Amino acid sequence: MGIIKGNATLSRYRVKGDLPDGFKDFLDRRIRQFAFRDIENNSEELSVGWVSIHDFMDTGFAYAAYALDPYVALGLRVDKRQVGGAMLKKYHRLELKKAYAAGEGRKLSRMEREELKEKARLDLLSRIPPATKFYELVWDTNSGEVWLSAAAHAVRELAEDIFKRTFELELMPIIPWHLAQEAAGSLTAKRALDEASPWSLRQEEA
Amino acid sequence: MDLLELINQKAFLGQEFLTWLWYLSEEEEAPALPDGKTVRLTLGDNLVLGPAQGAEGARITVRGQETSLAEAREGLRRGKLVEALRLGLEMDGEEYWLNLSAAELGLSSLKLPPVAPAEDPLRPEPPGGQAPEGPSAADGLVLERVALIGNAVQAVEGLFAAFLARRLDDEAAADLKSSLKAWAANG
Repeated sequence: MGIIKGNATLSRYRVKGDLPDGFKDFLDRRIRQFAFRDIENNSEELSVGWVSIHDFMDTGFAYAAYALDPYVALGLRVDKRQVGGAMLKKYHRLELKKAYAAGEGRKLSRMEREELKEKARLDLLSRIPPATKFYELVWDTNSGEVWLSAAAHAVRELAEDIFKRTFELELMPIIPWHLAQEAAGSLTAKRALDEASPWSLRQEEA
Repeated sequence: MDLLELINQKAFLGQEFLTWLWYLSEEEEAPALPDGKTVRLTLGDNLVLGPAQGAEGARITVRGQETSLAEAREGLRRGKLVEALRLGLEMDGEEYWLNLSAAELGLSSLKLPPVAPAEDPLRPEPPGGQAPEGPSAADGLVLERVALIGNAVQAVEGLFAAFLARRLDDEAAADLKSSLKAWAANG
């Protein structure tokens, strides 16, 4: 559910910086370089990358289908493996049990216990399929505005990070204050904006 | 000043703007945007009031069509302002619904006017390997949805600009504040 389907939730950004020369070639090269890489057959915890806005399985970008002049429309796929606390506790205990049996009851140091916990976590990671999340990102290259179909802080951070690494441009969140500065326009209005203080509608106040 | 500090310092702008939108939905038939278009506003089934910037206190949440707004109006009289609301926008005969939050003016749960369904984008390309001419139906859908979202974004920004034009002008601001107080008092 998002920009192209269902109810949309948007995080809005301004792109900081200038588009490089030969932008279209740069765009194509970089999107392919940062396309989503599957982690289905390994034990990596996280993979974040670009896919088609129509299909999270499509990383081919045939005919530069992301380019809808002046928009760049991309899907952002996030695959993540997560080991639950209870499951980790169980397998950590099994590892401890094996270690005690092998060491004939020798007491394990704190570091050894932590190492076994990490071993249990890595073993579990290789057995858990990653969960897939999909978001949409639309960049208006004329206005320099970007919409992301997510509001969660963690998703925004992932999107901001991969956008920066891919396009070497920063995303600046649009907040009321920035909109107000743009809307204020004149110097007098900007000064009034700087000096504005909160109102109260409390009835006893004049 | 970092972003978080800025958001915190100027949070009142978003709160006052959302309070004004509620006021408009009850007091003005179809306010004009700076570009000359008009938009009819309807308060939706979600309204959250919180303490004004610098004040302390509990939030008031009003949900559902049947819920009375009396408690929320009482909240206004006690100095609370709107932190979030669901708002209907009717423009050019089309209806949009969205949730707005004061902190970021972020748009969420944005319901757009219906668009014609595109063909299944997962259907394989016809053989031949030729680049398709012009945007496909699926791309057309993206462009249409982007244009509709753009309408909603522009309307919200237009309303915000209209609010600021009054809020930042000494005389208009005094009138606006007394209108809001009178409206809050009469609910």
